[in-house]
Amino acid sequence: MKVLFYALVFLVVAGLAHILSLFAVPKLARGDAFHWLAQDAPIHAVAIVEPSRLRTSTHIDPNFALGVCRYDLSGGPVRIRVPLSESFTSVTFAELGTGVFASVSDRAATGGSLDVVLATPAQAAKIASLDEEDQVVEELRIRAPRLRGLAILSVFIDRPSARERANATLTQARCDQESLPE
Amino acid sequence: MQRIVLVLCILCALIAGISATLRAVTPKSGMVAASLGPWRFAAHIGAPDADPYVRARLFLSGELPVAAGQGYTLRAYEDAEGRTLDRQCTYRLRSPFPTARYFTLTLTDKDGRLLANLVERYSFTSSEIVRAESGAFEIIISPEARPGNWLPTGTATGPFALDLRFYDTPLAATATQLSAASLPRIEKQGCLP
Repeated sequence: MKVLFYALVFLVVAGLAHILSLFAVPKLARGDAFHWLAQDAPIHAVAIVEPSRLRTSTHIDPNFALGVCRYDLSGGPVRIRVPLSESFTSVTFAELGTGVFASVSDRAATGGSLDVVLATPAQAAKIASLDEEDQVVEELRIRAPRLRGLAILSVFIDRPSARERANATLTQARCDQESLPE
Repeated sequence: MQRIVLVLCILCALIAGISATLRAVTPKSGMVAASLGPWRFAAHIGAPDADPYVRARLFLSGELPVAAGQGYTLRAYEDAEGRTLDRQCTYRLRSPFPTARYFTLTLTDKDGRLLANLVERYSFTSSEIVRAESGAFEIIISPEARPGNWLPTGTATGPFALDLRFYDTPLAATATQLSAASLPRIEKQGCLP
């Protein structure tokens, strides 16, 4: 009987330790890509990630120019605008401790730029209520699960000569907080 | 006495549970990535619904994942015969390649860092590939310079890995349409003496 009891204790504790440690990894990790990208990123402005930093990172495609912007939606929604070039361009939204929650690419762009508004559910509802009925909405709207996170802007460098153009695209990219009318 | 046994039992269980986690999230773990021939594919790694094993691996590896909906990554540590990829050896990658607007092929060490080499060539994009008239192509991975599409493994020795990334593809994040037959074969051609 005692052996059975100990076996049961072992199984329950080992199972719990496995599950808890598995879920703790993303929360406790500090060496993940989102952490080091966030370290160098300004809030509501786009910083271009140094190519030398990309080359020494792990599991990152070296054929991209990357820009990063940290956002905080507590003061209002954030608009990210990247001018379009011929190259594959995308914006990926991620949070520390959880990872990627949304992304958009140039395929979804309508005008000459990839125009994304990131908002909390309440802000998104407010924005939708302000839309006029016959107005065509050209921006993409994304709901953020939490107030703070990262927007990672990527422009594909299909050949070495395209690097400068990709960096120029990122230099023109914007990440601005917008205010909603009361 | 009983109390000591119970404490020992709990301690052993904690160690077993945590070591099970560590084993389950290694790069080659079956809990993290599905195998398609030599290629490994971690489903939903760039999506909010990534399972806990994939997510833990993502945060341990430092990887910046290709966001779901934008594309996907295939990773290989072995050749078509299941032998570990060796920087002293020459390999050939041949069509078929899955359809995508772009793909990139990158050589890394086992931790995912770019392979240092004298010509500073770490990766190929689909735009840079030299193709035959039929559109077919092959990529040679070798420590020695080769004509055509050559990626150097550098002068160091040891194992390496291949990262094959596809961007803007019609395939979904689950990539259930992928099969080993639709992916390039990694053929070993010989090694330096």
